[in-house]
Amino acid sequence: MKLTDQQLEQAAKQVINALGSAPFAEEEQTVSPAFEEQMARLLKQRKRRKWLKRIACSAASVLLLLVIGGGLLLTFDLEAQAIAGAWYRSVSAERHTYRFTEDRRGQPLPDYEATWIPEGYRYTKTTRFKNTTRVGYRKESRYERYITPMGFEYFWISDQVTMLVHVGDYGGHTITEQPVTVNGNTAYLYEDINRWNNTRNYDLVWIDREAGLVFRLGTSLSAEETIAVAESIRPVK
Amino acid sequence: MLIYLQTLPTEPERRSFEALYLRYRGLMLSVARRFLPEPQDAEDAVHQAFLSILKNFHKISGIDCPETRAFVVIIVERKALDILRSRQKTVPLAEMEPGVDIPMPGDGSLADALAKLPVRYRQVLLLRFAYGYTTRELAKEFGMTQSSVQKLIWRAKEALEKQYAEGGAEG
Repeated sequence: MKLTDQQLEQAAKQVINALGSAPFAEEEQTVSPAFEEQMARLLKQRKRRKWLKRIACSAASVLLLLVIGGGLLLTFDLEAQAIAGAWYRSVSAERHTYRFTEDRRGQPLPDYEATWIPEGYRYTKTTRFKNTTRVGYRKESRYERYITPMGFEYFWISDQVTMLVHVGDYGGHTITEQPVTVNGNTAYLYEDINRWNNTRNYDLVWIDREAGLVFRLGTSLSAEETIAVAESIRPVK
Repeated sequence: MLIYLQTLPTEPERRSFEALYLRYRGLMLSVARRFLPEPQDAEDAVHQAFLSILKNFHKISGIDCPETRAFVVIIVERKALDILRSRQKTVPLAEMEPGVDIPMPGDGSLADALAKLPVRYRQVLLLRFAYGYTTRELAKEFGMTQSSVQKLIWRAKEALEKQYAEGGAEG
């Protein structure tokens, strides 16, 4: 017999109701008292401290990083440091989380372009999303029929945004990070090695505080070329 | 994708999310610990589950209702099994993995058969047909391509039909 979507929806809802009211034996299990205390302190601090309120209110995932696991609050305290006044990051073995302490939104995003791109690459298109603009380039090889994309995206610095970077071993990739600079701004270069086909890509993140923008550039170039492209990104005249 | 951006919803939604977190963190830790004895692994599963829930927050209609409770259980179960799989030296067939027990009447109904399906099949069908996940959303959730998700749904339906026929025969 072939099941219809209607039958499946009905059955799925019955299962959901059963699962939703299932008595899980350990449901009363909660996090430790110390953990609860941390949470309560955090919520109180939100009322008192503007910067912490911004972070905790606007970035729910950041709140999670703070409250899940006793060690993570410590991790935040020790490692989340102002990078350039407008952004913070917390570091764990599996992810880096960036948060922003200003909200520079309010105007449409300006257009940017890379004024230097490696030979063989050409501009393809600019895609304007509601909060992000993405600029694409590609390199095509006629003989290999192989396309190598490259692109950068940017958005206003905003305390409404959390940026997460997976690091370490993640989904068949090994991702490592090194601090660099882009036109004098602190930046982080992530090297992403695909263990299946041994290809290497880079992601570079930085903020241009003067412009009020966060940038991310993704390439399969060398680290030096990636930084060179980033440093050439300028407003379109 | 190496990096993803997470634009958080409006202030009332943020408050709802915080309420959801406070309401279900214990339950989610419990579910995660069924699969992951190491507390850090369990907490990691909960964290990943919350990130996934955050991305699909529009699918949640209320905090304190069976649909939301079931939703958080399904998501944390998924994340916990993913972590478990990554920790094991030999990768078991997805179809063989045990999930949380769902108390059903055992009346040989289609819902009964669905609840008894192997966990991966059950998860994909529940997310699809109870929460309206699109193929694209499922692909993101399961870390698969859209065509692989379509095949998974097809296999899950096939298994359900078989399970239902057998259940009906038994009943």
